[in-house]
Amino acid sequence: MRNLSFYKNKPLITLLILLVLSVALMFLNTRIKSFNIRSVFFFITYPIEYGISAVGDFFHNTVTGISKRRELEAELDIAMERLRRYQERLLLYSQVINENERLKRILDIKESIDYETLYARIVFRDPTFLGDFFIIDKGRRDDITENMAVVSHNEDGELYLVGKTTEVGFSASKVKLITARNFYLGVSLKNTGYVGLLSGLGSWHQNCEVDYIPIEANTYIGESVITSGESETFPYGIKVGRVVGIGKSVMEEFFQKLYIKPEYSYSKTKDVFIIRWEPSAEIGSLLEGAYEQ
Amino acid sequence: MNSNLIKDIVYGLIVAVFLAIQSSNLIAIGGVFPDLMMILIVAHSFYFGEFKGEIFGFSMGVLVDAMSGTLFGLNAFVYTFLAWFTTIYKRYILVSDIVAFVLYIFIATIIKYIFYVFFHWAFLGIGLLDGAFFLRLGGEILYNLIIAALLFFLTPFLYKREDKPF
Repeated sequence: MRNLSFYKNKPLITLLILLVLSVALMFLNTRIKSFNIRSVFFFITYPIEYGISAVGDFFHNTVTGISKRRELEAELDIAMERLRRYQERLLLYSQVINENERLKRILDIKESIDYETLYARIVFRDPTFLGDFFIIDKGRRDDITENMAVVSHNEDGELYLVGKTTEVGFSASKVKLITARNFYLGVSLKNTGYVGLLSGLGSWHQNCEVDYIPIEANTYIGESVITSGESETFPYGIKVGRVVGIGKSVMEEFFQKLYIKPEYSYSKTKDVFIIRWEPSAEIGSLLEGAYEQ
Repeated sequence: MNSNLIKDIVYGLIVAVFLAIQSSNLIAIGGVFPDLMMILIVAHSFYFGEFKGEIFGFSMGVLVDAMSGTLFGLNAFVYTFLAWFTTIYKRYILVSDIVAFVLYIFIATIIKYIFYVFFHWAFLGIGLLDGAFFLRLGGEILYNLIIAALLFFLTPFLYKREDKPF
């Protein structure tokens, strides 16, 4: 009977025992500081808790990594766009630097020229490189007139003759090249000083010939040829080219013919200087245009 | 291997996971987290009876106290009482559906907080009744109801193969 009563009230009896035990634990925990049963149970639960939290951290980090990846992709796109813009700016900047250096070099060259000059850019040239002329961006409004000497420079800053202005418009001018057919120029050999007449053979030939060089002139291949200064257009001492060949003149008993390769290069020349120069003596009225047309 | 043993092992793992989640506040929202162990103990008590529920509740309460750092024995007391209280509840409420289960969780949460207030005052001399306390109570009630509703559909798989009415 008692056993039956016990089994019938088992839940209630168990409840009372466990509740009393719980209250006792609370009492001991608060009143007796040395009573640290928590640490015993913590020792049991810690491995489970550590394992579960490690798994939780793994999944948390995975999810965070996935969401972070999207953010990083977006940031990468922005960074790539910025990089592209910076590259464009860098290219522009380098172009500006190059242009600046080029202009500084031109300014240095201009200042080194003894004559008054005007800088001009070639704005049109024959695309087949066979033309006898090109167009520059200076004209009447820049006080350009016909028959003005046009020179250019190489990388070392040395000047060489290109040609002369023939037709002058308001803002552009035509420059006839020294290689053009029917271009005539008084030249002299730099070393010996002998004077001759240079004539162009047409740009197709790319060379010029100098006639009326006395037979006794001991010229050689590679000798420099400069302007003689015996004209109203070209001052003395401007480099024209180099001797690349020696041939026979029509009057071979007295003269020899020289073949000159001009310093000027049709495809490499990009900018020129127009020389404002007037001879000290009035020779124009005394000449009958023997050398130029 | 006995299928019941397999189920017990699986159940044990789930209990361990719930225990770790509860102690780590992994699913806390705005400082409010559900009492997963309480919900599990109530379901355990409904399925296995009050006696087994009380033993289970006391054990789990002691473990939660060990990991939480609160007044040691408090959760053991609360869970044991709630496991037994299902007897009273079943006597007056027909708990055969989700509404009844969720309603009990609602009542259980309030009882739990009543005990918290009482024992904190009795043993620690701390008064818990303030605005934040009621906010937290409301938040936990809501959270517990949602978890209880989800768990209700899982209990047939957790406890028995065949559907067993409350």
